[in-house]
Amino acid sequence: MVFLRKLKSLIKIDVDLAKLKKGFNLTINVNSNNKVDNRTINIDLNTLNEKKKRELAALLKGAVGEGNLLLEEDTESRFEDIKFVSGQQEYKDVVEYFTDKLSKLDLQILRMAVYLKSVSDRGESVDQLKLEIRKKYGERGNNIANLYSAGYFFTLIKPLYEGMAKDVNFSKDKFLERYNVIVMHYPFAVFVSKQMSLEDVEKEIVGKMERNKKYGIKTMNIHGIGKANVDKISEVLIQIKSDLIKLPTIESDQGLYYGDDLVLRGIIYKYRYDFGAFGIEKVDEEAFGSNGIIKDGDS
Amino acid sequence: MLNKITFNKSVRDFILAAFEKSVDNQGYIIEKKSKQRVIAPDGLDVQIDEFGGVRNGSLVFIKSDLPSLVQLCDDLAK
Repeated sequence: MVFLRKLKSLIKIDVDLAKLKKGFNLTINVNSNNKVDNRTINIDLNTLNEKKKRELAALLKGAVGEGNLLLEEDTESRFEDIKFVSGQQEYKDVVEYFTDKLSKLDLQILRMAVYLKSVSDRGESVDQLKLEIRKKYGERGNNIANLYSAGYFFTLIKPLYEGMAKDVNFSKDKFLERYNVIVMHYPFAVFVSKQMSLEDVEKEIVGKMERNKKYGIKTMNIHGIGKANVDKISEVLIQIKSDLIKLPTIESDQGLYYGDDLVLRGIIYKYRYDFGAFGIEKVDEEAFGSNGIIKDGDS
Repeated sequence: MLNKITFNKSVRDFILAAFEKSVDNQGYIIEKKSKQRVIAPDGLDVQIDEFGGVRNGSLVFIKSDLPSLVQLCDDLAK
């Protein structure tokens, strides 16, 4: 209440103290005029002289000292969104299931991956968020985010855990050993990003194919979101088609057209192919489409 | 108790000055007097571009990136 009174005298606007007693929002910016809108008090810094700016600074310092958060607008908005997603069932289910199964670090990254996916599912760009995870947690962070987004935590890692847990000699360490291979090498999948050149994509795909052949792994999924990434995957598949014994299939979640341009937003194209573990059989090239791939199940 | 105090990026310098902080020529937030760089809970310096806000606890500088905000959620839930 003292804070409100001081604020009221500082900006000289009509504030209903009783109405705001239970809580209010305060925003500080420029070129917006001092005003009260419902429970939000807006202060335009340009309307204050130097003395009043000093008074406001002292008020803010005191408010933070009393336990209030002082956040930049975009940060605050992101913070609120994280809190919202944390309350959603998918988030709770993931955290509950994996809490005692993964390390604290991986669980922390996984929580960010769930948030990232929820942003992506809304059709918003996640480039910056992925960059932030990568910057903080390196390749491991990037991989966990990719694996979660592509559904592998529930299609592969959860079944792996449950399958292993049935064994009488099961131990968490044994699970983590296999889980680590999946996280750090994911031999069954390639994730194509905007930062990867065509050469990078080819090297990654062919490299994994070669490595997998040694271990008898015959299938691999290639993920790419957006037209540029899908084009790169198509190019590489044309180049390596003689190494495939089965035609790749495409699965896509959705497609959007804007005007004359094809815009592929939030689409995951998943190319699947099999190749021989001990010797490659040549494919029937006639069966390939004009772009080198056969569409199957595109919806 | 306030619900929220927010500020626009355009008034970052004012906010920093309110807490006796400024920005050095390499873009890091520093103590005005000692010129020492402030550090965030992750132990790293804070660049002005990643400055997301402050909270109490001998003045904690909050970064705007996802890991820092998830950490902030955890800290506030304790």
